[in-house]
Amino acid sequence: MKTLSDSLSNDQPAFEEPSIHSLFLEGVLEHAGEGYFLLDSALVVQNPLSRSAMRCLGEENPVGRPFLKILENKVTGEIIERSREYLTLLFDPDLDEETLGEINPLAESEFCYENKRGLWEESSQLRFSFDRLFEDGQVRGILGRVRDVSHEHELQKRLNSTEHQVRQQMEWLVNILHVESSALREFLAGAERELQNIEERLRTPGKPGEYPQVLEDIYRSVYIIRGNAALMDLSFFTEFGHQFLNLIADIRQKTAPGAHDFIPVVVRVKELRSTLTEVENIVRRVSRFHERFRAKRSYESELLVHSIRLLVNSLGSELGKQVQLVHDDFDPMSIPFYHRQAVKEFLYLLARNALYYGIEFPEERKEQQKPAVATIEIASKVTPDGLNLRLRHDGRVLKIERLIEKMLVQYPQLKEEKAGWNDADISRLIFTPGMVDEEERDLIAGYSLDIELLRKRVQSSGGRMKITFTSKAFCDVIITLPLRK
Amino acid sequence: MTETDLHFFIDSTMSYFEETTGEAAQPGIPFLKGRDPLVRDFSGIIGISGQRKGCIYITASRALLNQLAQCILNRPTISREEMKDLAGEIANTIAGNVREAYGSTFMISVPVVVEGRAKDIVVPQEPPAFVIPFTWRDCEASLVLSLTP
Repeated sequence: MKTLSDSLSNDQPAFEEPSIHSLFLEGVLEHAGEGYFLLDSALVVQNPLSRSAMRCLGEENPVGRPFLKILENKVTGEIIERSREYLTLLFDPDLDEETLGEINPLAESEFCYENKRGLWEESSQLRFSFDRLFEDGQVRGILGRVRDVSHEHELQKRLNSTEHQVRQQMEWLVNILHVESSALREFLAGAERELQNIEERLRTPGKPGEYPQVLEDIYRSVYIIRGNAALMDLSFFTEFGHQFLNLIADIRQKTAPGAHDFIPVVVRVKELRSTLTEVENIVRRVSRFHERFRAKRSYESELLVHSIRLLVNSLGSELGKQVQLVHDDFDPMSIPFYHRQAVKEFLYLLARNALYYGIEFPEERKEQQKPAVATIEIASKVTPDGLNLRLRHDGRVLKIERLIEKMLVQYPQLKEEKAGWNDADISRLIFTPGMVDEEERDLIAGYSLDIELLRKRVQSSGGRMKITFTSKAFCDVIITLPLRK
Repeated sequence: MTETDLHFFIDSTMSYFEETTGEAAQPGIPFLKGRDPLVRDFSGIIGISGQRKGCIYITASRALLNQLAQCILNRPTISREEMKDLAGEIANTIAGNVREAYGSTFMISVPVVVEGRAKDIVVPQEPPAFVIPFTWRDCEASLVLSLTP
C-alpha cells in the first residue's frame, strides 16, 4: 500500500528526509513556537515530524505509531474517542474547514506525561490544529500542528481565579465592613475554636451508639458560631449557621444515625473551613483601614443604643410582642473602648433572649395582670468593682417548673434536695446547658445555648454574671466587667 | 467534592470488600484531613487527572491486608509483596469503579504503593481532603480523597 509519505515524497521534495525545505519549514514553525507532524489516512504518524512535535507528544519516536495510541494515558478517554471521530471526519472532502475547526477536541487539552514507572510527572497544555492535504480532490493526509500554551493557560487560569477571588472578597468585604476589626478577629478566633471542636468530634466519634451525642456536640458548636455571627450582623455566617443547624436537626430526628448521615455534615464543615480561611485573609488585609476609619466615639455610643432599640423593635414586631426599651440609666460614654464590642454583644444576646423566651405575648400578659407592653431596661454604672451592666425585663423566665421536672427525671437523687432549693440554686439549674425538653426541644435548646454562649463570653472578658428573677414577674441580669487601670 | 461524590466513594469501597470476600466493611464518620499524618502499614495511591485532579489513597494495616489476602488467595501465608500488590489493587479498583461511573472525563494513574509508616502522604491543604475511615473484621483502614471540585 502506498503511504502518504511515499506519495508526498514523490511529488513534493519538501517532505524528503532532512532536505533544506523541511529544515526551513521546521525552522519557521519552531520560531513560531509550533511543532508539526503528518498523519496518513490510517491516522498513523508519518515523517516529516518536527522535534517540537515530538516534545509535545511526549514520544521519542512516534513515526509509524497510531496517533490515537499516542494519546492514551495522556488525555482522557473521552477526548480520545472524540479525536477519533474528528480525525475521521477530516478525511471527508465535502465537509468545510470552518465547521471542522470548531469541533476540534484537541483545540486545547491538557497532556499528562508518564515517567518510566507509569506515573504522571508533568503536564502541558497543548493546542492542536489540523490542516487537510488535498490531492485530486481527495484528502490524502493531515498536517498536524501543535503548540505548547501552558504558560498562557496558566496565566489565564490565574487571571480567572483572581477575578473570582476578588469578586468574592468584595462580597465578603461588604458583609464584614460594618464590624470592628478587633471584634471580627475575636469572632473568627471563636469560630475557629468551635470548628476545631467539630473537626475533633468527627475524628473521634466513638462507637455508632455515640453518634447522637456527636451530633449534639456539633449542633452546640454551630449554634455558638451562628449566635456570634448574628450578634455582629454577619449575615452570611448567620444564614450558613441557620442552614447547618436545620440540617443537623433533621439528622437528629433519626433514631440511630449512621456514618452516611454525617456526609452532608462534613461537607458543610469543609465549606465553613474554606469560608473562615477566606475571611481571615480579608480581615488581615483590611484591619488597618478599619482602625483608620473608625467612627467618633460619641457617634458610636448613639449607634449602640440605636442598634439595640432596632433589635427590640424589629424582633418584637416579628414575634408579635410589644416591648419598650428604657435606657435612661445607660451611659454608653462610660463604657471603655475595649469593652464596647463585648457590651454590645451582651446586650444583644440578653435582649434577644428576653424577647424569644421571656417576654409574653400581650394577651398572656394581660391575663397575668401585667401591662400589655413589656419593658426591657438597660443600665450601666462604673463602680470600684468594675463596669456594671444591667438588663432587666418584666417577662417570665422560661418554664422553670418544667425544667425542674426534667432535671428531677434525669437526676432523681435531687428530689430530696428540691425542697431546700433557693433562687440561686434554681438559677444554676436554669443556666446549666443541656436542660432540654423533648416537646419544645429547639426553643429550650436555643435558650440554653444562648445562655451558655453568654457565660462563655462573660468569662472570656474576665467578668462575672449575676441573675435575679422570679418565675413570672421579672428577670434581672447584672454583668460586671473588670476595668483596666 | 460533593455529597454524591463522597457517597459514591464510600459505597465503592464497601462493595469492594463485600464482593471480594462476602463480608461487608463498616464505614466510619468521614472527616477532614488536617495536618496530622494519616498512614498505616501499606498505602495504595492513585493519581487522578482530567476533569478532576488530585489523588486518592487507601491506607490499611498489615492485619487487614493479611486477612483480605488470605480470603482472596485462599492461602494461610501471605508475602509482603502480595500485601503490597493488594493495597495497590484496592486503590486501583476503587478508582476504576469511580471512572466507570463518572465516564471517561478523567484518568487514573497506575497505583503507587508505599510500605511502612511514612511520615505522611502529603495532599494539598486546599481543598481539604476527606478521610473515610472504615473497619473490616475489626481491622482499621482509611480512604483519603483529595480532589479538586
